[in-house]
Amino acid sequence: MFNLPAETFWWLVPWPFIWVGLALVLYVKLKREDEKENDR
Amino acid sequence: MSGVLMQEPVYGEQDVLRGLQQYEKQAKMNVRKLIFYPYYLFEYELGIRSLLKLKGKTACTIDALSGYGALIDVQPEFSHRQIEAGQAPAIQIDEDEAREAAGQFIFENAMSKTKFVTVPDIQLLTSTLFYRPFWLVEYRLEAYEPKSLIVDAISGSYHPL
Amino acid sequence: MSMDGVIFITYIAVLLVIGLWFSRKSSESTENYLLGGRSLGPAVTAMTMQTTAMSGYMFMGAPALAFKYGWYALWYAIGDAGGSIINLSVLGKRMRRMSELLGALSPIEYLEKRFESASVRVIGSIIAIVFLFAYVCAQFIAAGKAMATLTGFPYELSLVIGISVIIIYTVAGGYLAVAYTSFVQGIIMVTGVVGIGFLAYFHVGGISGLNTALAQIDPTYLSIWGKDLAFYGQWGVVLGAILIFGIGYMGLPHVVVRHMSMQSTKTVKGAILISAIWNQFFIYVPYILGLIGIILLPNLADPEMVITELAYTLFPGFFAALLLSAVMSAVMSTADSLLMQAGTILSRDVYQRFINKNASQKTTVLVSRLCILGGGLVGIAVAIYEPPSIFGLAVFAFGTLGNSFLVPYVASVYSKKANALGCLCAMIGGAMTNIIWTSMELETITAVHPFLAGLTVSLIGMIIGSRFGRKPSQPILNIFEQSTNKRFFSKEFDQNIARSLAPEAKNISSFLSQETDRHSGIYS
Repeated sequence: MFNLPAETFWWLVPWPFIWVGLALVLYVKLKREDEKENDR
Repeated sequence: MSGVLMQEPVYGEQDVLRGLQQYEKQAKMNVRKLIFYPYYLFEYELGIRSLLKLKGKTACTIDALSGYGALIDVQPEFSHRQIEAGQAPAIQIDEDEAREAAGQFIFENAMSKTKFVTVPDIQLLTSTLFYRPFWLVEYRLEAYEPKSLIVDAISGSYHPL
Repeated sequence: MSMDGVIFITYIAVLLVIGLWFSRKSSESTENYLLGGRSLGPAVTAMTMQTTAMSGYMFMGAPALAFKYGWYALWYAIGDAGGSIINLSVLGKRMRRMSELLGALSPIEYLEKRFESASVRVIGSIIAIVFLFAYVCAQFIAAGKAMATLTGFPYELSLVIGISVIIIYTVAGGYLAVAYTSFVQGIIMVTGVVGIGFLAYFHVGGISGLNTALAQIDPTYLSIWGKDLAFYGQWGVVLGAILIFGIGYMGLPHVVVRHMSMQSTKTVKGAILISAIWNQFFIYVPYILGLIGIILLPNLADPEMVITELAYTLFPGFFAALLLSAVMSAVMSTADSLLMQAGTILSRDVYQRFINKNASQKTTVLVSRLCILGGGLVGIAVAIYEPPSIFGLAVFAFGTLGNSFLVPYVASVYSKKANALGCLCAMIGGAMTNIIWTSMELETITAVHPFLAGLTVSLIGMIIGSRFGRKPSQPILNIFEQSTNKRFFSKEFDQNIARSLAPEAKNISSFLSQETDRHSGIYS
């Protein structure tokens, strides 16, 4: 995997994806809250 | 209350509602009234001698309740108008205090923007007390307590209370 | 003088002409006021923000770290990239609501009002000054190095020339070289970095090719523990590296100048979004370029010149000099605004408050200039006699800020008990720990990053300090309760609230409640 040692790969490479995932989760969560509030 | 200087609202009731509804479609909003917020306007002649000369007018407003300064872009237009009691909050900062705050504010900004070798030369030209209109808007969502907003009738920007 | 020096001078002259032209145009019309320029469009705003962030540190500090330690340096980038997301979404929301209710305009003013203590502001200002001077020093070193490359003179002489140019530029064009000129610079730097990145990436055969080549030189470049496994097993160091940039930004001393528009304007949207996307991309690139430098520039003497050398290797000399000129002038405008900020804070929040309460404007200006001069001289001396690395300075500067402000910010919204004494203990304890830890190099003995140490002490300070001292007053407790309520407005609506109207909103709100009281008084 990019010729990196496994340790380095698994410690470093996932992070950008984790951040993007986190941003998405937060986005969806906030959007749901909005919709809930709006439905009421 | 006697006649005072004020800015004419640019955004009317309908414009404000339309503007707010752009961002919020579910809520019911209605405009309750206009509030006139007092500011002092101080106009200065600014001269800076550095390698390049700069001379011209500059101006700032001082919030007549809390004394915050703000730089302004162009000369505002005022009209005379009667303001009824209960439409404008009482002034809490007198003109002398405001003038001092304005001098300090303009001086600091001129200093920080023209940098540190020359002291800018600042002369007070005019000082005016004027009122700026804000719409008080009520914001209702079912199952919630109603909330209030103020909408700046000149710029259209808003802030909840 | 070399050809590159001529290009640099021409570049500065063109910038000045652009600035002069715009300011002439604005002072010609009679109803336009000086200084209070209109807000710029979102693209220009975002680009300006990017230019400030992209100065010395990004061009010299970050790649140098990657060049020295290999993939380990990416820990810093990871924290940087993730921190902003966490900041904005978790802490940001509550803090924003609370500062709306408090009527505060800047983060330090927010702390002052939340903890009801003016000393919070003063201590905060002093810590901000430590940060500003450390960061200025880093800019000086970057300026000296850029000038050395452009003129071909030795570093010491170039440093003096570089700083003289900063001063002349400041005096002549400080006012002129704003907004549109930094937009031009932003474009040159972005194109430059993207261009270098693109060419270099294919030159080394992508990330896989890069790693193969790195492994051939020294396999430990690929380790997460740094070259030669320098930090092996030291989680305290790694954790500090991740946290530092993500958190440090929160303590930046924002000097907000309010503008009031006298004509209707459209609200500026989208600036935040554009810069967020840019950040995700640009944070990683300088580090990767540092890694590429290990392969393409094996004989490089000064790691901080990685990007510069890559530019000269991959581009025709003219473009490389143009890029470096843009970097140099970005460094210049960053350095002079940092100096100005430090001078203003020192004279207003420290001198005028403590030493001479009735100081006249002229005296205040004199004090602030002397401070700037003193700070500048110390900066030059440090940069010549014992130049620390740009990276080290940036880590120190951001570390001090983060250590002093993070705990107070978090406590201000999540703890009801947090009070002024706790805030002061946390700020002073955190900053002092970082300063002592860094200067005594305790990291090598304890295997704990100075930032982590400072954070721990700061937290302890907050917990202990809040047990003693004055309890938060009832109005503050009420505001605290209100800010924990669920969000009422829709997200889009919430994002477009004009934060600068906070003081007006607070006053109108109390005016309205007085009115209601008066009316009910009449009718009852």
